[in-house]
Amino acid sequence: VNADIDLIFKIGGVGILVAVLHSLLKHAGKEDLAQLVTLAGVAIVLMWVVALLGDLFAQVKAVFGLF
Amino acid sequence: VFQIAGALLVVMASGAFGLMMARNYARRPQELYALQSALSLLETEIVYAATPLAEALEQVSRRAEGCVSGLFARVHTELAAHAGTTAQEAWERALDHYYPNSCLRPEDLVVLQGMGKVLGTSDRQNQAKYLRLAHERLRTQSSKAEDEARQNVRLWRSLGLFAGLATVLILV
Repeated sequence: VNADIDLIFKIGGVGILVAVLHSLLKHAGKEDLAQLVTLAGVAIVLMWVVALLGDLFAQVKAVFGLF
Repeated sequence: VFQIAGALLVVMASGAFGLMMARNYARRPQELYALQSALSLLETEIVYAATPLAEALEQVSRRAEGCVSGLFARVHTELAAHAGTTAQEAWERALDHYYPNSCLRPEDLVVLQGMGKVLGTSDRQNQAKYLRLAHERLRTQSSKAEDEARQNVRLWRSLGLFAGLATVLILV
């Protein structure tokens, strides 16, 4: 459980940083780079979360007996 | 403890990198201004005081600011070192020496090199014309550089810091 809470905080941190970087880059007129940073943030968070998502689906399958 | 120390190091390193980039952007307009004032000094020396070029260069190097002074001093020493170097050769050699340490862009270098071609050749009026041309070009360049600096200095300063924080967050 402890690791999961850690992960949530990490995701929150990445979210904040990405938001700040996005607005910073957009302000400097580098919209394309801003989009890229946002996309990178999403990709990184997805990488962390994807294993947990897999767990979730396995759990759902187990609960409803869909083998 | 090691983790915290490492995190601090990463943040500080990328913050310093950002500051360095920001300083590069901030220094270019300053250097261009210094070059402009040095060129107009040289022009007055040539046109009104009719000083010989070597002496004029020395005068300018004494009165110019910062590393631009070094550039003109270098031209002077190059010119004095070997008998038979033309002013253009001396100018180009000094530029080669000066350019890597400066924040100038290739387009600024081209302007300066173009100016060196007429340095010490032809009559005073003609040289003055070319000096003024280079001055004018540097001015447009410096107003562009200023715009760029205004945008990029703040960007790089905070970008470095935030990039460091992001790295730490991703790696921890």
